[in-house]
Amino acid sequence: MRRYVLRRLAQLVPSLFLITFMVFALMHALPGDPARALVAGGEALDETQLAVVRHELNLDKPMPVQYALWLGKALSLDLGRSIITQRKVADELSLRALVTLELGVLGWLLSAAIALPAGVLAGSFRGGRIDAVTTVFAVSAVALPGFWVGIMLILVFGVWLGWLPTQGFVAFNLDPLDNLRHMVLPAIALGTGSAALLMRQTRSALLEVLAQDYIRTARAKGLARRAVVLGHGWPNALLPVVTVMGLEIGRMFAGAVVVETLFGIPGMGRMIVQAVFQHDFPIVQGCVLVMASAVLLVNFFTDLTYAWLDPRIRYDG
Amino acid sequence: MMGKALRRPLVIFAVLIIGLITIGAFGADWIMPFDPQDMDFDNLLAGASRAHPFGTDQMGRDTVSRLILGSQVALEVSVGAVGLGLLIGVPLGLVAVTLRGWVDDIIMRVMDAVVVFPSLLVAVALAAVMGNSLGTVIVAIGLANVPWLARIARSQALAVREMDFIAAADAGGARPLTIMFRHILPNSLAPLIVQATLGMGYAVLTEAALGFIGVGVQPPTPTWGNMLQAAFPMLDRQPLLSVAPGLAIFLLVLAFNLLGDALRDALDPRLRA
Repeated sequence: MRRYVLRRLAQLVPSLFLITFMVFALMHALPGDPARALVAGGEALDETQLAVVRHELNLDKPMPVQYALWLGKALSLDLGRSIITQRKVADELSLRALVTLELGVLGWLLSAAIALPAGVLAGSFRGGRIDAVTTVFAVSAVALPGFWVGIMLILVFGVWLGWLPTQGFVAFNLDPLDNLRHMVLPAIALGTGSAALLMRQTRSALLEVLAQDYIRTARAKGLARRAVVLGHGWPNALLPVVTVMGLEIGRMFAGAVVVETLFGIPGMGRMIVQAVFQHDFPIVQGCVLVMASAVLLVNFFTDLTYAWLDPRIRYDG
Repeated sequence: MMGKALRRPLVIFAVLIIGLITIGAFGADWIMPFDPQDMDFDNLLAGASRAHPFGTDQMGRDTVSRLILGSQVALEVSVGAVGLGLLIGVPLGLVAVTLRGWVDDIIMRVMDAVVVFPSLLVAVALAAVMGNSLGTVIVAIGLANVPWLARIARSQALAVREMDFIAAADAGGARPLTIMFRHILPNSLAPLIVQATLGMGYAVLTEAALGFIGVGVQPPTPTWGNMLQAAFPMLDRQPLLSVAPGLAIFLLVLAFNLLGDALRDALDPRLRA
């Protein structure tokens, strides 16, 4: 296992470099002079002032040097300052990242809590009523835009029934119950699509395992269906499910961009959208860097989990 | 086997939906019951009626006409983005297989890095750089498709390369590029077609999400996403305005997904979910 971890770590490092390079390159894809886009009031600067900015931001150096210096700063969490608030990008991000993390974790847990039992039931009663219902749900939910699910939830639980708040956010440490009341609908909106994918994956993985000879042997021994499915089938069907669960975290970040905007949640997703409209480029860059690195790290840990669950991966891959 | 998979009622339903929306998009000028920009101040936020089956918006514009015009953007984005993804991704995958070695390593490592950027995030970042436009949306979703299509092209080409007829072509003196594009590519198409069809559904979803947050195609051009954005503040007064574009998105994405699944069953039974 240690060798596998080292090998995956060795692959992780170049990917991380490439991601940072792409985010760095984004800055130079800006139309006009990046120096104007990266500081407050940049549009109004004259040539002398621009020269100072370029020097401060190292934009007057050769490209590889610029990248190395930028990377060095990024690694020490210096991502520049927001053009609008003048605060450090890293400080802004750390405040918002926790909100997005909570939303993502809730959406992810919710999707797993629905999808895993439903997928197992659908797989173990193939062709039955439960299978039909879950399949219809899964096929439909994958095709639904998450934010539209959110709009419909707001309509039903906010506008018509008035049961739950539909806008804003309350910090967990201030009022845990109110925090959860605010997060329920966004988490459902975020988790529905993932639940559908996960359910399909769980069902098909379980069906594949249940068709194996050792399951037939277990049944022939007279084991109860429940013991066969949960004791022999489920643990082996878990492998591909873990991969999908890992990949879904990346989708959660993308989904958070829209869901946070819809529900007025002050997370990273809403911040990046606001930053785009305010032309606050350092914030956009910081958000993209953090989100992409987070996805990469989650994929890395998913691979490790997969290898830990399935020794064949460690030895082959 | 192939015909059977494509003759299922759900597949016929999917083809019908895609066909109808395509006809609507191409024939919008003739089919739209009203001018989608025509305001009718006597009919603001009207509910369903015979004249306006999905009602009108806050400016009295007919929702059905705007949905029909919005289908143009949905199809342009889905075809454009997947087309761009294929155009860049497939040659990259094939070149990686043809040249092997460090070229293969570099291409695939770059793909691994690109894959961690969700298409929505790419689009938002590109909008910050390139501004809001249809082109930005197509490029962003297209770029996000590249690594998936490159990986599929590569793995498929790797499998086909080992087959006997490739060895025969090689022995016959065919050049590597000829082998790649004339022999390997045509035999690797099945999973690419499946992924492209599923990718179109995903592109429609992403475009709608971008329209909703205000990134992408801007009003007055109606898109299903920006229609939802405009309808949201009116949710308590006219819910129909928020329901209709959502249903349109749902139907088109569902149709692409059903067709993609059926093509998978028909073209490559090994990949069947």
